[in-house]
Amino acid sequence: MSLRFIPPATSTPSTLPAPAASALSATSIPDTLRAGGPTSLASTLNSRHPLEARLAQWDDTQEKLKMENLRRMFGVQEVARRGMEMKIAGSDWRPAQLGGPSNFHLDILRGVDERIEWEDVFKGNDNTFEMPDFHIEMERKLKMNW
Amino acid sequence: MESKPTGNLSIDGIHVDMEHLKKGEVNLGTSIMAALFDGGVILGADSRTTTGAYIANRITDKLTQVHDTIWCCRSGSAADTQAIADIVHYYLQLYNVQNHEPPTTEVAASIFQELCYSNKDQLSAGLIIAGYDARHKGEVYSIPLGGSLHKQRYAIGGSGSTYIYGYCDANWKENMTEGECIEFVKGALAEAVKWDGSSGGVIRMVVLTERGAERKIFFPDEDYKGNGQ
Repeated sequence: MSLRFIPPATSTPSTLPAPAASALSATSIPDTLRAGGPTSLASTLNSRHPLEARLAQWDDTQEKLKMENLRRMFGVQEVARRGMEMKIAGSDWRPAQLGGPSNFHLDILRGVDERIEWEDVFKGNDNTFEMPDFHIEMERKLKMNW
Repeated sequence: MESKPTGNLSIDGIHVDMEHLKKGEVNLGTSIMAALFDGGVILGADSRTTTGAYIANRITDKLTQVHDTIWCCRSGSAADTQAIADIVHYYLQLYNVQNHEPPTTEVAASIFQELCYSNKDQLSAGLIIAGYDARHKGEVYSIPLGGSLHKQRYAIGGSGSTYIYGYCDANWKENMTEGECIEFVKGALAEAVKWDGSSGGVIRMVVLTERGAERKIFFPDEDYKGNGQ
């Protein structure tokens, strides 16, 4: 409801390692190798760079400001409609090992379908071992992860 | 256990230092003012931007247009004020398209004020907004550091303004002509520039009347005389 356009200086860590870090056959036991090595919670929470929280939340904050402006201009129906369209367009799913979702309709809705950035060239998917395994993703999607 | 206060806290660890610039920021230590006259409003500013003792830009333009005849003077952090002015500029264009009429100065000042107050802990921005519209004629609004909104006949701001309160009180008149008001703003800013180390350079002005917006510039080597072109 407010026009805050500067991201807060602190943030709760938005990525929790839970899904990838559980051992395959015994899901309540943490799997250190899958989680990327022995790390402590203290090291992930402390000694962050002062700009890290700000940058991580930058796009979200600008989006929120834009939605707040639209809400004041056109009413909450405009914001609700845009959220609904994004949700519908995000329903294409492909496993990460097969390239990940194409986001074709999402790109059009966000207005970036005619834009190419570094993230489209260097997608970060060159190391297949760092991405979720095909079987793990399929089991999660089919709710087979007891 | 003693720990040094960080960030915006002053040395006692309790009070917030509102003048504090964030690391690497450029300071618009400044003299800005806006004044009403009979038929419009004039904005004026010096042109010095400093990073500490170094003058980063000696011909800065601190008078920013946010709509055809609504302008603002910026003081404080250059980055913060530019970001705020950009958001307001975008929003006023949208207002114009949606409502088929230009926004009033009061609308612009309200948006500025809400942005400054909602983000007051992260911003250091002192603004003076002035505009001319046909219904309300000229209007001047001042938004100091905390994000309060003050409608005034004339407003002064920035670090150099502290030296010219007396001058402005003595020389201000209601319903001046355009020429008298130009001389008033020019004289006040020349005095501020004389005493304040963070103000200097040229004196820029914008005159807002029913004719629209006219920019003027006065140079120190000509003693700020000259016709403003």
